Amino acid sequence: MKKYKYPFYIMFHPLNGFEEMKYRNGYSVFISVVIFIFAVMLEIVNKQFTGNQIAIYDVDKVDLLITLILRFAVIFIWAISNWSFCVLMDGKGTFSKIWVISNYSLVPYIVINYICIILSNVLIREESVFLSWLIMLGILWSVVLIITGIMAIHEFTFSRTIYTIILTLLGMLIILFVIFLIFSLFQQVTSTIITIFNEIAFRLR
Amino acid sequence: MEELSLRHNIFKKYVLIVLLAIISLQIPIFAAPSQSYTYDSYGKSVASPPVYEVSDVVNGINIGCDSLKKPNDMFVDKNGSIYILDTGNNRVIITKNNFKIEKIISSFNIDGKESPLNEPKGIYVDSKANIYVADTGNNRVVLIDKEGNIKKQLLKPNSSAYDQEKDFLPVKVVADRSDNTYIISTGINEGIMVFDSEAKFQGFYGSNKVVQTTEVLTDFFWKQIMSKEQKEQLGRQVPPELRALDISEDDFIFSLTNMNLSVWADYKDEADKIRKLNPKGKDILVNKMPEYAQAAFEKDSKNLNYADTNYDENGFVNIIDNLKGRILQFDSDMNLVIAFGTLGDYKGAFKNPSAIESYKEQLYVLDSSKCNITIFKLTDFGEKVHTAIIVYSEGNYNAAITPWNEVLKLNTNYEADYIGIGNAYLSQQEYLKAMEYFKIGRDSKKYNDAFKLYRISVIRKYFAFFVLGILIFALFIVWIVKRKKTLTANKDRM
Repeated sequence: MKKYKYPFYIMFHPLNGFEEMKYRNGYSVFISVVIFIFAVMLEIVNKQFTGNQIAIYDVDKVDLLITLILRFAVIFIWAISNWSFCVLMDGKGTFSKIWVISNYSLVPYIVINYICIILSNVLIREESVFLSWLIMLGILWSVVLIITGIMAIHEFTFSRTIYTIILTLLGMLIILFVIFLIFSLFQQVTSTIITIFNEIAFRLR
Repeated sequence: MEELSLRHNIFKKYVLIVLLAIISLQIPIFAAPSQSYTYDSYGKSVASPPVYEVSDVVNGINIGCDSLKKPNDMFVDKNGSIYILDTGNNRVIITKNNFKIEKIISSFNIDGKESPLNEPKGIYVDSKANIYVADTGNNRVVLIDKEGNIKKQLLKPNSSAYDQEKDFLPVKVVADRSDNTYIISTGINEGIMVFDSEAKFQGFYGSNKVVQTTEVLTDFFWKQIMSKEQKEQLGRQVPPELRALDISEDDFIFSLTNMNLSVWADYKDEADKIRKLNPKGKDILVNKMPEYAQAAFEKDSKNLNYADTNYDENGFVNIIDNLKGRILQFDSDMNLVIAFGTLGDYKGAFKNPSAIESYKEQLYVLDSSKCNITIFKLTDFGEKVHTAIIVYSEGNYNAAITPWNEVLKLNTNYEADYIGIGNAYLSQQEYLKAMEYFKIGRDSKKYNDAFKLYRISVIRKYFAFFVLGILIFALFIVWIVKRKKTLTANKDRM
């Protein structure tokens, strides 16, 4: 099987797909990045092309850079956290594999969302319940894929996978906390340096 | 010849100078600090051309009596007669519409004794020209005729429904067609006090409600644990007091609640600011303001201190605030038509506006610190906006399209007119055009209505093609499935 076929094969055959990908080394960082770009685009396409009868968004407020950074941060921190826990728990997966399967698992969510955006131009407000059901389905589908994916690459049992996923989510919180801590520390350090510099500059004058 | 051309040149110069002078003159006029604005559907305030301009300012000396002193209320009746309640001088000044004095009432005869007014704070005149005065200092409401003869007195009710420890301090009064009197009294938060035509207290009406917020619930929780002394310190959760009243010709009462008072800080979001009460005391005002515009108005309300409300004959609701001197005008759907006005010392600005009245598209604002009345009249733009809204609210969408288009020429930021034009096209069954205007007006719900009808019309038009398309699609799928089956069968055989 060609590498680009895996994301779609996985959608319908998660158990077989992830195993096969592992044995034939079907991981492709390039394809995962392409999927990630589609995920980022989703936000903008949604604001721009959702049918006006469902919602009229303030397109002025869409910020591509912030969307990109936020989405990247979420998946990247997830991958880091999962990798750090799974290494401790004898998982076989590497960081790049985790990144790849996380993005591959997002495919149903992304595809369904794009379909919903197209449908929203045809449906009326009263029928938009279908859209929220579809999106819910997409989220569930992606969650199932991510669980099977992690199970496959780390060669875990199901219960162990759930356990690591809970730990991973906790780990993400810790990482975010540390990031904020570092940010505020840096802010204080820079402000200290700036005040010292100003002080010296005023004295020398 | 040469002289002529020279003169011509000089003439040209003069024209240029005059033109420049006109332009430079216009700048301060249009850059007046009293900027008019509305909200768009994202809750941003958008500058608008002025709807009202100052037409006249009148004080006591202009009228022909000595100057007013802290006038607190005013009433303008259907004939344009103006009743000014000169609180500081304890008198009622009745003038014709041209501010020519008809009568001044300061006291009246009760059972042979002279009884002067004492710090009266509210006035209302019914259709039979009976004058209701909330005589606050004397704890009564008096009903007098135009000649100054007393007809009726409303005193502190003896009823058990009324907390006898509280003083009767009437501040606002209105009356309906069947002579029931509605009174707001300071310190009473049970609602509006109602007296029937025989001056008997009937009960309370249309109070604000305490809404279950987390604050109220946590207080309730603590009260279960606390001792009696602690409970007394905690204070009670009571609904906010009403601030002002007005009544429409068909006896619907408009009540205004002030959200600015710090005591009611927790209820700012819960109680409605403006309510239209039916005879049962239920609020029937359907607020059609877009969500974010509503939020913006509520956010503004927290920094404003509403003093008075007025319902005019065309269905516009005017509110005045005395913290920023802002006048807000709403149409009958509670869409903000315009907000304008400011504090200041110049003509048309206020210091402490206390009452607002309307007469034939004119607004009268009484200022109790400046002791004058400012009269606003509609600008050209305002007249167009008003005709458009009046015709539109009558449901005559097609007739409203011309005035809406004229408004659009003068102010492209006015979202309501896009929706108005969209509605006209919708009733003309031009769905695509309607959709276009609703999109610019950012009204997703209206757009949905137009789109729904448009979709039906398209499906009806191309029904045969739709059926054919679905049939072909079904056949195609059947063909693919069969082909796949034969292919797999072939594969198996091989």
